[in-house]
Amino acid sequence: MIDSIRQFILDSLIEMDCDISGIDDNSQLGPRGADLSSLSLAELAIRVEDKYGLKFGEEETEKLAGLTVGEFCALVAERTQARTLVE
Amino acid sequence: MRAISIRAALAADPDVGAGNVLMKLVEHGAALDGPGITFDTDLDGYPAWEPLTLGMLRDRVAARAQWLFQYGIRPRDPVAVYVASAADCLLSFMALTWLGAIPALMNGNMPADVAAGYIGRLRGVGVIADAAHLDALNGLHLGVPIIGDAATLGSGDPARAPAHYKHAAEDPIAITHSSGTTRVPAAVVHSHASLFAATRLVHLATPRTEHTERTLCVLPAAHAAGIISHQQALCNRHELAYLSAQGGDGIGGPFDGSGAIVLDAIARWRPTGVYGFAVTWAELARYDLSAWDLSSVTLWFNTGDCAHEAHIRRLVAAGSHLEVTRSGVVRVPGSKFIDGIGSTEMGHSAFQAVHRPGTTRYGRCVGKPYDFAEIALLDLDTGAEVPVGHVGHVGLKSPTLAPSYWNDSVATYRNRFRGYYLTGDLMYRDDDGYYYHVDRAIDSVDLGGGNWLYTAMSEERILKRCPDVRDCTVVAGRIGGKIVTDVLLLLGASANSDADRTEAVKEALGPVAAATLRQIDVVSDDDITVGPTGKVRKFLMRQKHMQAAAS
Repeated sequence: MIDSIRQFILDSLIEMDCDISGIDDNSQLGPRGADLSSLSLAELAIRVEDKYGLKFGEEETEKLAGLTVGEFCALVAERTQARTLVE
Repeated sequence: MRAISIRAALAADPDVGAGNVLMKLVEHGAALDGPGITFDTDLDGYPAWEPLTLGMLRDRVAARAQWLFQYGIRPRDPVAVYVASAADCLLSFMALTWLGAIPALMNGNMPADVAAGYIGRLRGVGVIADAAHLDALNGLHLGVPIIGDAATLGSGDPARAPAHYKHAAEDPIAITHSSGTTRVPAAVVHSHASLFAATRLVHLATPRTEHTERTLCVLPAAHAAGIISHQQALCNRHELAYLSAQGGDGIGGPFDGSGAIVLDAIARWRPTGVYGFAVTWAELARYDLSAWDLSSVTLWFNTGDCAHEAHIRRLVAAGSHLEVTRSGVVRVPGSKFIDGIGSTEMGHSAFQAVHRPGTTRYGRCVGKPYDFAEIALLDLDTGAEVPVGHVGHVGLKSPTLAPSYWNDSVATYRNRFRGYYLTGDLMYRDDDGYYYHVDRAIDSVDLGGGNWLYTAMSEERILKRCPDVRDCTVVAGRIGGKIVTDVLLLLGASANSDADRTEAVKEALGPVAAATLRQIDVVSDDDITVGPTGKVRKFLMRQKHMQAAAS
């Protein structure tokens, strides 16, 4: 599942015209890695929400910048599994 | 793994500080043809408003560093800089820090007699001034020589500039001054680390935003905010145009023409972000903003004093911003206003409040503290923190704090309390952790019985209740043992000067303070005494008003 989430995130970033060269699981989404803008982070969050049926709070979205791609994938997988279990 | 961005590289480099931003940008590989600074005045043959690249900026700074080195300026030499233009101020700052000297930046609006006394108290090695200020200083005793006209410093040879000084974290890199509640400005020293702390911890650590990609800075360049703002723009590799003297003439003239200058500059530069002190927003209140094209503006950033709701609401109704929706990123009307109360001594705003169209948390709400700032609202009699909802003196612990006053250890230690720096402000906190500024401690008046008159909060309420009033000042003092309060109103262009606003003003003051109300005066700008940054000098206003009343 992690692999498909990672691929969705990278595909989304390409569609959003973000530079993903050299980005891997250890790359932070924020200034120390992918250096996504606040708008791009918000857009990425919405795309992930729509794809996986999740919801990120406003403060949570702001803190995504501190996560690596790998940590973000794990968070999405964890939330998705939790949602599936509830359903 | 990809190389980290230059923002992250600067944030991670412990040797970067407010004394060497230019050198470190180049060292970390910033493109020399990338953005430097755009000035509103001619500079060394470059016409006003021509954007200087980083390379051009470094070249012009190196020329000045060489000139000053040849003159004999060396590390730790305090040098006063008394100029009007942002270009002369900021380039002198960068050239002096290049040498490890200590630029003492002076607001060009400071009256020459006050400036002469200030320069004398610095005990420095000399003065750099522009032609207008050299004229103004002529004949006054300074105690130090004039080093040169700021315009001639650019004639140095950049290729022969000495190596950049290597700063340590605690090295002094600038002396700036407060507006002062009296005519005597306090000299405050900033360190290499302290004045860069917020840039490192906040502005380089958070995601990039569209709001500041192209900034118009109307902050006074000679103050801490001027140094911080230009360094933030450079480190973020944003485009920055710097307006001189907050849109005023920079040699002591009034601010009443500055609103049009700022609006013209917005039309010309098309900024996404506009930075200013409260006086700029009050001056913009003279104009019908819908008559101007402000569509490029997504953000207004205020620092210094807390801004008034009446002024903020007009601004956030203008401009536009990008919003992320489920159908993509769209541009929508309206802008954001960030209110960041701060002071010279605080070294950066410690709080941040965000206003947008439709937001309602006003009433001098200054938001919440930045993560780097530790705030305590203190009862100075008991030393304890006051409970939620109670007004206390603001104590601050922060890496941004200025280490001390310059040549004044009495003032340095008098403002410290239980390990906190006392900002001189009075605030309360609500249940949700938001802070509200009620007044400067020195301006508040004890009405007895546990009641206080908070002049700043009263002004906020008057402006809210009287939309045709452009700005106002509440002056209270004691005459014959009795407290009297006068309310001075500056009216908007369409206001009726004969209208009776007594009930609205009394309601704004509240019953106890209203009982001290003596008169409501409609005044002109000439009747209001302001400091060099446009801040009303209530101490002098109080003296003047009470003396006039007594006679």
